Amino acid sequence: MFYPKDELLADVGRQALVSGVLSGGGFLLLALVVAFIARGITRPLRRLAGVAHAVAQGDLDAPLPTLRTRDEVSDLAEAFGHMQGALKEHIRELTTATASRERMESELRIARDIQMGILPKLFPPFPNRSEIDLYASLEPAREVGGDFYDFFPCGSDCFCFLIGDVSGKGVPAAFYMAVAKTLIKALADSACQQVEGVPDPGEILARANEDLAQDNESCMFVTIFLATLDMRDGQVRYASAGHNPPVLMRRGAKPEYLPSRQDPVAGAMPGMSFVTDSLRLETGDALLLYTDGVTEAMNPAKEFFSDARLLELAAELTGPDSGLDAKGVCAGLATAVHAFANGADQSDDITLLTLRYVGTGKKQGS
Amino acid sequence: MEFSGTKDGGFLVLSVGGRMDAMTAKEFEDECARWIEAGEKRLVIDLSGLEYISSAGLRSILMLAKKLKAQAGDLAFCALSEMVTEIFTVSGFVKMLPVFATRAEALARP
Repeated sequence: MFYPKDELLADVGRQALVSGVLSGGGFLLLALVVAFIARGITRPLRRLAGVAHAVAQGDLDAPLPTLRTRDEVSDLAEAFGHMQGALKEHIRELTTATASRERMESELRIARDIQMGILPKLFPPFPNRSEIDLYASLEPAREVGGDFYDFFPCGSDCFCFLIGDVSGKGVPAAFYMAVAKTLIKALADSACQQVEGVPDPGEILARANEDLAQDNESCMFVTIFLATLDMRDGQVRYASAGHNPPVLMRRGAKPEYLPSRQDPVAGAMPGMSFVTDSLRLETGDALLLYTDGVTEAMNPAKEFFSDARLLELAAELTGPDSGLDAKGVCAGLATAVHAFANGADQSDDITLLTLRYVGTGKKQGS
Repeated sequence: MEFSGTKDGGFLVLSVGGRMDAMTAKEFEDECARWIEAGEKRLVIDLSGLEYISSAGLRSILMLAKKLKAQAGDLAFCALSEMVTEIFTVSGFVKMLPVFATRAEALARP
């Protein structure tokens, strides 16, 4: 028996077609359903991504998409909302903090200008007096500091010069420095007027100590080296309230520290006395006053600049071949201290005062 | 800074080590305040372990001296290192406060 092949396979073909259509359609349907569900998930994600971009661009108020379903995506959106809120809060705090910091910095800058303004900065200090060559410099470690120096005439042929260092740093030290400097000046001025001749530095320090020690709850104190110079004959009278001993640089001799009387710092305790000593500067001799910001300047290895190094350097800078004036000596020392510190943080104010006695040109003692 | 306190007769001996500067002076103040609050009024500060003291540290010492004086207590220092001796000498602290070479001398006071 023969059947035509076509007739025989017709049913099979029809079945294959039906199942093909069915599976294809089912697949398409499935794909559509999957796509629909996927869109339901990715659409809010895409919108969230859009908001994240907006936030990244700085728009912290970009509205979050509202989600009707509760699933992982809505959790994410919620977390995102919290983050947005926290970010806004943080930025607001930061803005306030920055504003107050900027205000403080600006106030400190002004305070620094005021503080530097009360230090004499005109050199030479007495242009019509050729007997002396004086220079001073002060570099605060922070915006404001507690070091100071001063010099002013006292009578017609005499003048006072001093250097001081208040305990601690920053704004409290700066306040105390302004008080101490003003007080010394006032006491010295009145002493200059009362006494014919030269006031007594030890006496001035004792009075300053009484005033400063009154009601000194903060226990701050100040070290001061105060001296007077008679320009006619180079006679120096000096007293020290706990200050680092100055360097005496005699022409043609090795520099040396002035002997210390170990008198106490000013302002710590009432009832202290201070000894006045004297010496005579000959033509070409010099005195170097400094604060411990110089000798205690530290390098990265935590070593101090030290008294010994200062003496060595003073010898070098004032040696017979140096030819430096007072300004040159101060500048040379400051440069050396910075070179020694070698980038280490400056921890204290660096203050220097050099006084060279040039003399009257007349033979002294005549 | 490192501290260690021991009772010795009527005194409290406080050994202080490290560096006393603007950053650490507060630790010293707090440590002393604790002992004073605990009833110690006669303090001997042993400074043999102190490497360095800045003006901020000296200020803390002054505050301590004032505090003890106000409470009718007393304060002495002993065994200063070379560097600290120099700072105490230059600043005149040796003239303002009792300083002894050894702990035994500081404790031998009436």
